[in-house]
Amino acid sequence: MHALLVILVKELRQLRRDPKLVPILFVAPVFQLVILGYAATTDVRRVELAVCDLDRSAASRSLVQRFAGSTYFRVAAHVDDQTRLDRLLQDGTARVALTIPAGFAAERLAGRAGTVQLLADGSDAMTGTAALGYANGVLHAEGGAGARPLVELRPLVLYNPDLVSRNFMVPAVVSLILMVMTMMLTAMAIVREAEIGTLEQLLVTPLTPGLLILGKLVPYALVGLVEALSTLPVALLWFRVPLRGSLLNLLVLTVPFMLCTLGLGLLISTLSRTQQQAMMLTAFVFMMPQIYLSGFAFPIQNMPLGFQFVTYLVPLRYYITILRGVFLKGVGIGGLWPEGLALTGLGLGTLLLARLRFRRRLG
Amino acid sequence: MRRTLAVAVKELLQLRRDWRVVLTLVVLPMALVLIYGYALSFDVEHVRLVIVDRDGSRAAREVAQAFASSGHFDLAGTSRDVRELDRLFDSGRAQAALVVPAGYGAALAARRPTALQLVLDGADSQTATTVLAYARHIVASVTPAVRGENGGGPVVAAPLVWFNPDLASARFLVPGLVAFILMITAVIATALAVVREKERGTMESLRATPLGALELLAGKALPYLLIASAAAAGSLALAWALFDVPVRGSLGWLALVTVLYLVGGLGWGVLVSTLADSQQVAFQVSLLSSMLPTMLLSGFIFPISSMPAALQWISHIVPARYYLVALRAIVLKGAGPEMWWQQVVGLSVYAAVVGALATARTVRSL
Repeated sequence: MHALLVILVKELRQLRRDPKLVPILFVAPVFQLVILGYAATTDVRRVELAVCDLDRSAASRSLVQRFAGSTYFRVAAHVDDQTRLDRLLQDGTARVALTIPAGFAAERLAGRAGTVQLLADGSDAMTGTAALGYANGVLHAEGGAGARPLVELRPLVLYNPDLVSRNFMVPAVVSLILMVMTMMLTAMAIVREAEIGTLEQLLVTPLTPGLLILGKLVPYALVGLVEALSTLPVALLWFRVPLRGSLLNLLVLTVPFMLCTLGLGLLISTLSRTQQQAMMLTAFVFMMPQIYLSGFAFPIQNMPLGFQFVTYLVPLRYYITILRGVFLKGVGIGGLWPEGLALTGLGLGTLLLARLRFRRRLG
Repeated sequence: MRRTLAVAVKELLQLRRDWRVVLTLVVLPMALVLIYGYALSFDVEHVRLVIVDRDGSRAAREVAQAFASSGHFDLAGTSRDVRELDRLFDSGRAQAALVVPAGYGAALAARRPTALQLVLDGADSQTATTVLAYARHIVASVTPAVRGENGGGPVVAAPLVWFNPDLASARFLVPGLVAFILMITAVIATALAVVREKERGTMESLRATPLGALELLAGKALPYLLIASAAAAGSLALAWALFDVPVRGSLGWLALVTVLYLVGGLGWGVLVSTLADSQQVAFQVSLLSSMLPTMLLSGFIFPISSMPAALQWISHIVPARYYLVALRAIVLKGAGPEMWWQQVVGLSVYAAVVGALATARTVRSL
């Protein structure tokens, strides 16, 4: 126990010695969350619209007005000639172009359908799809009581009634930052001592490898917990993400997640010979799968079946489910124990692997 | 120039000793494009749908059938009791539920207006929005409509999608993925270049040589520019061969813009390297400053036009923003330089500023 304490103190002192590391550890997460929390929005707003009104009637102006008045579109350009739309779409000035043909008002007055043309830039498929959907909504509203369906679809949205994507994304960004910070710290922990040559010195001390690993782990776990506690107020007070579940549940379930990220970091540290290798392993082999296969931005159900199986090995997948469950759905440990259990299992597994690798390295 | 080359040769010799690094920098980006190109998609499919049919009429079964066979939904279960839904949604086993009220069939037969309810899990707002649009479409297509009373025909759209007619998300995502992976490759390649010499103490010996700061940095970055360019060529070739990302514009322009982007990324890595005192700090700063911003602030996943104005300004210092616009314009739209020259200006300014800062920083520390 005393030995453990000694190595803890040594690690904490080393952390403090690098004056640039401390601000990175404690200021960067909050700063990043503030910025990225705003960036991570999938709501499509203010899509640039180019208008080519060849009809010049009251009806066509009213339609353009309806587009301009909706929050989904921003009229970026008016042109008189349809051929000029090509250029606007190509250079990105507009992403949707609306052409109202001559005779539009006359057609509608005669009770027939007035057809307009919508050109969409498909190179940004997500915005394109959403913008076409919104445009159809605007046209439908303008058509008014044209043909009214007999059956109305009444949506009831649970957990996030206004469909604010921020409520969905901010908890995920919190988990992402937490993972990146803790994993990067520990990834360097052992390989650094090895590269500088101080690992030899540690090995001649009476510390057992298990204690050594534990001593490396605990300070970084503390750092991670402080980071988690400092980003939570930002999510709750700044972004006003509702916290429907209990804070205690959230913290309890954060511990097994940290076990995973710290364990993975240590594993990287034992796998690599130089800090450069550790960095590449972290970035490419361990961090990217977490980001892309966790369901953070890309729904897991869309992935090919093989990849869906791989996602079960990704700790962030479980933690994002936990965060979104506790924040938005108010689910307690009773509903989230499978995720907690999976994280604990993965965490202990990686730690064991790291411990085995460490012994082989010594031998 | 000769001195720059000498440093470059020294770096290459050092790299050859650690050939695993070179292999990682060239092969891994291609492998990642391959893997994630297949894995990622925004197309919403296999939504877990529960049908609560409290009517049991033929019309109700028709509507349920239309949802089940639309291709967007997987039938996760049927139920007669709405109270069961809470549990299904809390556990995540259902993402959407269609509730057909009692009396639905009778109302339709009598041509009285009626309603269907769609319950959605709004926690995933993006999927929910898309699902709602699908559902509206399905309901409108299987249920009858009545003509309105007031005059004036409806307004209908003839939509036409350019550059990516079937709105395949791969064609949109894969270029973004390439930009993301290249940025990280470039930054990682050089982030440790200078700080490693500092940590090992060999910076002193370099200082004793007649090398200028710019010569030193350029020489250090040059070999990595070659490696990163190879990785870029490989990744773009994969995108073209496997994911139907066409290259409609000129290859020469594509190469020019890509190299400019890589120079910016390598320059950023060098700058971080001159700022940091330990490899650990360099590692943290370079990954934090390249990975998350390139993913979140470049327009790769999240549309820039939806961000708050202040953030749209900040996104101007993310080089991937410029590269993505130019890349998509060249490969998907086949646009010439008159369409994306602003992006080239942006990339050049970024590379110049980052390079100047790194040089100034090295002069001072020398």
